[in-house]
Amino acid sequence: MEWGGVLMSKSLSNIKIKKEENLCLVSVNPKLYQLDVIYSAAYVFIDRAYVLLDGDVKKKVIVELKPKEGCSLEKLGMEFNNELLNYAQYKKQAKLNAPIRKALIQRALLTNDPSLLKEDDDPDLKEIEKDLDYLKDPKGISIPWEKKHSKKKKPKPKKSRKKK
Amino acid sequence: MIETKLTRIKIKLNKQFYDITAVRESLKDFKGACTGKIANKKSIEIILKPKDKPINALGHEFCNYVLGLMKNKTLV
Repeated sequence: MEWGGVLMSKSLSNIKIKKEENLCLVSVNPKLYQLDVIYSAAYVFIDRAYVLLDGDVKKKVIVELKPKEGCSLEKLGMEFNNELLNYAQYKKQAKLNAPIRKALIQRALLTNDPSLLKEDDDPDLKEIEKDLDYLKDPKGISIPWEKKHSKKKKPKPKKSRKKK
Repeated sequence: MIETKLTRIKIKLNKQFYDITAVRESLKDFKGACTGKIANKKSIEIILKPKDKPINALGHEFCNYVLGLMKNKTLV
């Protein structure tokens, strides 16, 4: 196997299969995937396989998967790897979106009672308030068409009656 | 690690990954199917004894149940 000009004889696979015991062992590096991510991935497999966690939290986590019904052991391990990646990405995105989510929920909850907004000193909400420039209407979009384009009636000059 | 014998099932759970309160809760929930106790609190050793007849993969089911309880705890 060649990778970037370097010959690699060692496989990167973290899956070990024990056919006699009908087991699949997946070793996970806890530095790459945090423990809560491993728990989440393991939880997904609960209905398809018997899951057992072992190893060392700091060095190497070993996830033992024993399929409940006839299922390919290798496929099970590979799917577990995918699930790990899935939850790691989910966690990363959730962390990034947390302040936005919080601000949106607060905004939604305060919509019905704007008086509460004044009492709240949350800087996130103040930031949102600053962005409420949609209330300004420099082009006069909110003005009804009739009002905008109606011709102003000029007062008619009074006709002076001719004296006969 | 799960050791299955005719009359009893011995389970050893790693304390770093499994919560002892979740194990206790699971034992309570499994009362209908088996009796169990925590033999060694340091490494969480559990001994399950099926009540009537041996249930297939009871030990594994127990471990999955503990994991499920723990997951729900973090979710709630």
